[in-house]
Amino acid sequence: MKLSVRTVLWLALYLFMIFAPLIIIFIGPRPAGREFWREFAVALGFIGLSLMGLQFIPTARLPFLCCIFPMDTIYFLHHATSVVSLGFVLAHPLILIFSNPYVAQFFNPATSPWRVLSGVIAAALALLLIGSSVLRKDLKVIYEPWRMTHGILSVITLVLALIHIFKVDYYTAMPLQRLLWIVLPILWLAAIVWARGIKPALMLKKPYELKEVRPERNGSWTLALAPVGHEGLTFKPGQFAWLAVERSPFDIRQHPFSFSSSAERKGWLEFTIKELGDFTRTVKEVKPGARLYVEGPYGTFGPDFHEGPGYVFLAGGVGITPIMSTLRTLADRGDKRPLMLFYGSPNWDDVIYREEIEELEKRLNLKVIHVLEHAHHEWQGEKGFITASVLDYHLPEDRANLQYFMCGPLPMIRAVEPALQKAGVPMSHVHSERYEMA
Amino acid sequence: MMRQYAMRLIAAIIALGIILSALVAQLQAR
Repeated sequence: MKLSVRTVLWLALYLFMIFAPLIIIFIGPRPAGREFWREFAVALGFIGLSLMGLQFIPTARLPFLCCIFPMDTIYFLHHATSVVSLGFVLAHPLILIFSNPYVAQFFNPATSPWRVLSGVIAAALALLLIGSSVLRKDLKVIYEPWRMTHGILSVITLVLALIHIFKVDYYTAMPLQRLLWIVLPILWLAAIVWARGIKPALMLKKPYELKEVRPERNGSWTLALAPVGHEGLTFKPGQFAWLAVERSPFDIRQHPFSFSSSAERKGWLEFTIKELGDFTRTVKEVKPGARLYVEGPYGTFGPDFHEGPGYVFLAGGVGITPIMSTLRTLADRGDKRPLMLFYGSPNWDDVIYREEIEELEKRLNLKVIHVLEHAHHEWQGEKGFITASVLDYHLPEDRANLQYFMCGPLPMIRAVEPALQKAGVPMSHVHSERYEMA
Repeated sequence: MMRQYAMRLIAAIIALGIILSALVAQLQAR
């Protein structure tokens, strides 16, 4: 897979933004009497702060970024760069102390001047922010309160770090330096204003009404939505959206789900949701007529983003939803390219959309291989899991030319990716999105 | 696949961060 020019340009801009504070250092006359380690510590601190400030951007779900990078990659970057930023931030005081132990006396909160104290508290809060995020699941912290605190703490940390810079007043002496230290945080925080203010306000004007709740196999439910007073959003098959069910779009309690309906069907959206967690268990109780808000579409999963002579889909359980949207869309478009679906389910009765998939086999050039974990005695098809031997047996000779889309639980993805590689599929043709956002 | 690029990007950020900081410090210090 080659990176597009647009992707490279965005990455170059991102790198420039990370290191932009270093430019501030060079504005104005060169200060006298500062040794290498002190300057080095300051530069690392600036980069750490810049990296932290830029964290507001990936989680703001900016539409132009979400069409370039897969959402799970964006969140992965958010998590990984947070840890890196903490490393840079903590290196700043540590190097200062090691290079000049005299500095350590400033870290006594009772006697410390505010210019140092603000930096110490900011660093401590950064440690708490990132530590609580990394250990959230282990500490069994509930997602929603954590997320709310996470957002507020992030802003406080950023403000304290800026107070530290302005109070130390070393690289803020020149008016241009001060201006840049104001402009950069405005750029970082603009992402929050967009995500928490402008975007929900725009969504408020575009509500959806729940038209029906349909039971599906394997404890899943399909919600069908129609736009109220607007045309409704358009999406590409394989994409997903955040749903606010009977809640204001300003409410942070929104949940990501793949579209399962055809992208060619205008003014009608469907989401198929399996009862897995606290929220998904309540889906079946929502009554037709309920008000919903849909934020999206997001994601780069699906054939519209990866052109190919034919497609192979690999689904596990409710992971069929984005693939179902793709199959329905391709059928509506009259697509004649060869398609294969490897579909893993617990047993024959739990095959979600079983009947409709049989219908789609007639409308499309589609071959379906069901793989059942607990097959009944008369079952003639594949049993167990989607393994390298199952793939090798069914995949055509020209398998290396096809594009592969996989959606399912994480263990399945981890097992099937190497199986595909073993079966002779180039990994650059394998696309999978893991919906592990938090 | 994108994750591999993401890992490389993170490695680049760490390496560039340290190198550029050292460079800036070298130029500024006296």
